[in-house]
Amino acid sequence: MVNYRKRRRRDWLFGKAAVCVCLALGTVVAMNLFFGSFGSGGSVSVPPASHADSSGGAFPPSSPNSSRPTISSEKSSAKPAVSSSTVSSVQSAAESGKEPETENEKPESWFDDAAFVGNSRTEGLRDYDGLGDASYFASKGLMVNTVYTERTIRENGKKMTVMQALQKKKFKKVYLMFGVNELGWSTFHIFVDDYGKIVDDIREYQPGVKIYLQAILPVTAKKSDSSQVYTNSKIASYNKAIQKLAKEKKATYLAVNEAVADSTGALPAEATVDGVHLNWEYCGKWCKYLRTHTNS
Amino acid sequence: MKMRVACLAAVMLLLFSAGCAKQSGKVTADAGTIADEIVENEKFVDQMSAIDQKTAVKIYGLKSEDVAEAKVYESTSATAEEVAVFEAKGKDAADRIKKAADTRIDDQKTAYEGYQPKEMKKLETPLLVQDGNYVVLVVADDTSAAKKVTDKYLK
Repeated sequence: MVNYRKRRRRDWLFGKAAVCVCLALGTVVAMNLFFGSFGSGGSVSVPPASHADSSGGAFPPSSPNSSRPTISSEKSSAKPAVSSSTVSSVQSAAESGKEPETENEKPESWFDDAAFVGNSRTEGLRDYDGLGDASYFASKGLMVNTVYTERTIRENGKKMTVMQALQKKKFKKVYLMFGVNELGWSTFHIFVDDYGKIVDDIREYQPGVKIYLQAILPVTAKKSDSSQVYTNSKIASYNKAIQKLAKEKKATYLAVNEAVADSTGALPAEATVDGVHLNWEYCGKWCKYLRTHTNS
Repeated sequence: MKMRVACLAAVMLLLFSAGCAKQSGKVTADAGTIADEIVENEKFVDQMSAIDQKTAVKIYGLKSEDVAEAKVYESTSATAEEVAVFEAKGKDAADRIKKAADTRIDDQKTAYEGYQPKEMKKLETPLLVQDGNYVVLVVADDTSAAKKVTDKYLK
């Protein structure tokens, strides 16, 4: 009888202990599932991924009036530090017809009534977002002819051409950047004529608007050396034509190329993964140039 | 006998606890954490930079009132690579954001088709996930690392 009671008591205690152990285990497993799977919500510090390797060309493989050679892939290489020349004296600027540097950097809000028109490089400027509530009408491969023909801009769900989109809102300043995608055109004068037409049409859509023609930004020396079309010497000659056009059309020429070029006039390798498109840091240099060259 | 019953009860409780944890699993990580972790773990050819939420809303053509939080990383435009994580303000808003992400992919396909045809492969196989109020879009060569992150937080 005594043994039976002892055995019952031992079984009872053993059962209780088993229940406690299982409960504890269950709690641990449940907490693991809950907190382990769904995260603690803590912040994660993430440096921007930097894989300086890209292949393929940076420009449209084909375009009207052009035969476009394939551009070789670009890999970053060590380059000397950049000497970005965002500073130019008012005197020399006046002599060269460039926009002089303003005394103070304009606030972002100065660009709230500005529109930026351009190609994929202007998309980079848009993403950098250092120019207030400026509007951007930019698309990859945009050229002085396709602003009228290709419906690349989406406004309120509807796709339209850049020139159509530009008429939807009133702007006091319009910044244009064209040329790099037109470097392969067989007839240089068509580029200049089409560019001039854009300036005239914008003046018609936006009476009283101030128009800025931005220089074509350079490519890296490696990119320039690997192509017969997309060379920095050709970009320099196009920029001279754009500067002349600005003078003829009473627009303002902005030598934004100086903000991102090294001492040789090329885009530093550290500024890009493909020799053409600016990274975050260099979009910042371009942005700063715009904010400090707003007079006249 | 009682011991067996007790053990059985404990096992049932264990299974029940695990089941509850799975079923009540809601996203507790914020959009920024998910996007950061994707960028940290995924391999990109391009340099990825986080853009302002206001700019992201514009690029995707969204209504700002639909978005509780957004974290978007853009490439330099040399590639079509992109990471976007949105937390919507409700199910209907999440549906609209998902639709906008579909449109974004279509627009990028149109843009890159004649510009950088090699990017089309990435755009043909993006990672696009909608789970509750969250919408995630990742465009990269291989999105398996991004999928692991989204599975961790959203599935």
